[in-house]
Amino acid sequence: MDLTDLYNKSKTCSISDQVSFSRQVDDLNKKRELSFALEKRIAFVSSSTMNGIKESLLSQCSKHNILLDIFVTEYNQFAQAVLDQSSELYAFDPEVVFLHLDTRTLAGDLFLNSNNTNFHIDEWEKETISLMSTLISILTKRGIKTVISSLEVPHISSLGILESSSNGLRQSVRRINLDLMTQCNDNEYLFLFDYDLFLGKIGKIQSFDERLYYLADMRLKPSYLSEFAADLSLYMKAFYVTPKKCLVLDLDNTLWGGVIGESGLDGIQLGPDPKGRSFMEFQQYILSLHNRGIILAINSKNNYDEAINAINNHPHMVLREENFAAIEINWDDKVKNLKSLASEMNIGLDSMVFVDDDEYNREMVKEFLPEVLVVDMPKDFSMYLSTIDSLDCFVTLNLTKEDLKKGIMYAEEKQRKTLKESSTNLTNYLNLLQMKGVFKVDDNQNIKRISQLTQKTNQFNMTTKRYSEQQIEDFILDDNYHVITLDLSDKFGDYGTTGLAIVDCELEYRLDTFLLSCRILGRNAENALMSEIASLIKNKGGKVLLGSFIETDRNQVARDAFEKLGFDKNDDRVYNWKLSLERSYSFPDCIERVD
Amino acid sequence: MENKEKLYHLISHVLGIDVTEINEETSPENTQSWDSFNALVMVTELEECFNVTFTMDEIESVRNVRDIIEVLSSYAISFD
Repeated sequence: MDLTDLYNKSKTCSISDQVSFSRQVDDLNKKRELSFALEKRIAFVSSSTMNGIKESLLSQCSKHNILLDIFVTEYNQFAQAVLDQSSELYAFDPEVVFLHLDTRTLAGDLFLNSNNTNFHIDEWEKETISLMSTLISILTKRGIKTVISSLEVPHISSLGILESSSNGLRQSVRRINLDLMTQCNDNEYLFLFDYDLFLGKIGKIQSFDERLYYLADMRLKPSYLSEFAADLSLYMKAFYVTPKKCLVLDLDNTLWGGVIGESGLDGIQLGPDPKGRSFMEFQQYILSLHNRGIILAINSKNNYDEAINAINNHPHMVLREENFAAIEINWDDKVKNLKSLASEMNIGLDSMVFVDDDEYNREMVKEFLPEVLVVDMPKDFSMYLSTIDSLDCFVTLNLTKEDLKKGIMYAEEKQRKTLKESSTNLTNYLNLLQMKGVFKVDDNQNIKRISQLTQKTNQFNMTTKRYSEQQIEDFILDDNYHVITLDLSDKFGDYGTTGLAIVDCELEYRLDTFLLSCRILGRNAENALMSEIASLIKNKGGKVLLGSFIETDRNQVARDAFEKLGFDKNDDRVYNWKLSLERSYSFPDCIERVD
Repeated sequence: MENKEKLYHLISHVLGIDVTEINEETSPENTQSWDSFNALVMVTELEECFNVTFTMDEIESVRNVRDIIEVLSSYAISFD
């Protein structure tokens, strides 16, 4: 039995449903009759009673095919559990910790009495930040991914309307939350769950049950546990499940109202009237997805000329032809078109999301291409935007400059393809691209992307060494190492930081890392990067550069790279290539070196 | 569905026991899964199912299934 299938078949809305679902999962797993994509150990560390959270988290993560083994700390033992290095928490060895502290517990007597002059709210604020920072630092230094909840901004106050404008608990809590946000920017293992926003979404009055609070110290009504767990499960999804990359869109009654073939350019609903606005804002939302890196494509049954004319010339069209990385407008079936789109963009069907108002098309895609995520669009098009927004299929933890531009880059790639098809040969094509390269050495402003390149590059990667942001920072600060990056652009757009070398200069000159993102393969960028390294080492008085090629099952494309770059075999087991720097090393003609 | 049937079905679901095991004498003392957490889950699910809101005193007063029936009856829910 597949875990997600089991979840979809089960009723999991109430707590008791979730408890019985958890029991079922447990039984099946013990009998080894359960299949799932991943198994993860996580801990939930909380300052109040959170009974039921275990079952809710287990249920919600089953949606993402992740089986959880969950440790929940004892009642009000959060500080001991984290501070004591020999606690059960660390014996459990969780990969992820949800640290959920609440304002009532942390504020104690101050919670109902914050305008008492004997209390110094500023001191409390400082102490709270310091406690939270200590807990965070212990967990994250162990390499545990820590998701910390923001504190609830209390809605109860004896000051009434005055509270919001006075320097009381509410403002203090807001400042603490801001501090947590800042800490997340500087700590790659720390992530913020905006619990205050979550409570706002369901309603602070709704979510609090006085009776359950006094009877059992519960801060969140159990009926909202599953929504809470669902929001937390998105972090697990973002940590461990590859997000979707591409949104494939239908046209008629999806991007505009009506059928272009029947109503014509003036007849479709799109523009500043009530119906037209819902389509226009839907397009604006999709454009904002595109601007954060989602690739767009069209899969539509229409006459090509009519539809393209509407896309390019309708006065209220938000998305235009240049926003799409691939377009299939024809009378073929949608399954066939999806396959062509995938091969044209060179992305997997499993990274695609298909949006179509027509149920027949959706069911056909579900049947024949189960790996594609098909969105069940509502009949009422005013709900289109919120439907896509609630999908949560594009969740990621951080976005680098390069991620943000991915959608645009794929669209630019379409224009490059057209140029390549019209060029007579490769040299001609590379010259027509008018490439520009910018090199930076030991750039501490780009650590996130540099680390990401080592983590994600599999093909043109000579050593496939993975480095964390901390390790990259160490290399940058170490005088014995140089981190050299290449930013490549051409006349169609910017590829961002796509080439990287790390040179170890301590004893000899060794290429610890040499890689290119697959986006810039076949453009002589490796020669440009190597020429830059060669001149850097020559300036330092180096005569020989050693290279190492460690074969993996993904980097065959780089196997001959050292030979092509002018290296000779070297009889060292690790550094098996060497480049003599006695002769000059030329920079490729097709790339212009820019400072 | 009769109210009694509805009630027993709900309790059996929350406690994870067979509906035939439930009678008016069923209580936390003789039912292992009737712990403090399940008691509160039962409260929220009873309130939803019968569309009532209990006071804290009423929640505290419950010792067995008979007490639940008594409290619900005071909200004009018939168990005859």
